[in-house]
Amino acid sequence: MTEEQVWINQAQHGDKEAFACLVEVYQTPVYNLCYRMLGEAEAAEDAAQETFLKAFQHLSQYDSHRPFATWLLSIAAHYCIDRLRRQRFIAFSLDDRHGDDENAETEWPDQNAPDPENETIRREEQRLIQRALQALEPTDRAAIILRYWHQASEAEIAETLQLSVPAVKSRLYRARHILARLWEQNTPAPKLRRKPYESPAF
Amino acid sequence: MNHLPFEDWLLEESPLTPPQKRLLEAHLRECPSCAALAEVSLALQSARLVPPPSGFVNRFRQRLAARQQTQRRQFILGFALLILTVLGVMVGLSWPLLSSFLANPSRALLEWVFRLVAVCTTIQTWLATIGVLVRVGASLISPAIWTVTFLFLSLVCLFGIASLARLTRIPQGVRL
Repeated sequence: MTEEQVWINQAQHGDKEAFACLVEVYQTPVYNLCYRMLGEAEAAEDAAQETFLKAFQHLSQYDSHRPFATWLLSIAAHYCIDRLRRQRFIAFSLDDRHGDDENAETEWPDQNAPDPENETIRREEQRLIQRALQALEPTDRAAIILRYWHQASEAEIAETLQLSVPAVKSRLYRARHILARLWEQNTPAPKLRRKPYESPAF
Repeated sequence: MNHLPFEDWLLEESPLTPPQKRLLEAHLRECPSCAALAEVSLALQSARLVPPPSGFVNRFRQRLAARQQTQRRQFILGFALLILTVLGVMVGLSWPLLSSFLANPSRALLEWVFRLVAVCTTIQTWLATIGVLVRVGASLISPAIWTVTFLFLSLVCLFGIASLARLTRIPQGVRL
């Protein structure tokens, strides 16, 4: 039995400190998912905290044969999707969203990075991606975040979001098309600094 | 411009052969929409996780304690309200009986004993009637038909239990 399984077992019997150990381990993936979904640090903190509270209260429903991370991210994704649907989706416009940037987490260039210029470009890309993510329908957004930030397979995304694998594929295709269109509109003549097949995925 | 098969190659993210890589590179130099798709792929693949502000676990402990305290308060309040409602309904419903008992206790007690005897007699009569019907039915219908009937009913019950178990199974990723 792994340390994580021991914590889960203890937490299922009401041990709050054992659950706090699980929170310590999974705080970054859960917070990141909420932050990427909601786009605001304050809302992400609230959503991540609610996710862990829900998980603690419904820990008896957790099937120990499945990965705990998948179960936790599933709760977070559904919570954020419901929250976004309640807020009513506002049509995306990069120009209209300057106010939101005040709340966004600023990623300052790392002066110790080996190539500060490339680091600045990477951060600018990440800022653009984060803003473009807000244009996606909540479930598509969750699929993209799970795929690229959490390296989930299509089958894992399907399990997390309660979708079929073909539905996940189609959502990922559509979402990346939308992101590419926004990218094209908001960046002057894209020029690849790296070749796409230099990435491990190609 | 024809984007096939380049768009599929980019979207599928599958490994490419050296000639395919050369073709794709040539296409990306001419096609802004496919270049944007490739740029987005690269940006997504280099995405990093954002950690929460420090002290997240302590804030969780505080929130959990506050939530549990609120739930305890709500439970006590709800329980007290339930007890009061049940008591109120019981007093309201039994008020005619209570008032007659308070007016003439011996007569009210006698009436209750008579009613109890009447109810017991009715139950006894019903049980005797059902016993007679079962005995007559058993002698009229052959044991084979009884066996088939009980077997069929058992199967229906089993089917029902299986359906219920399937419907109530908690899938992973359920909304909580």
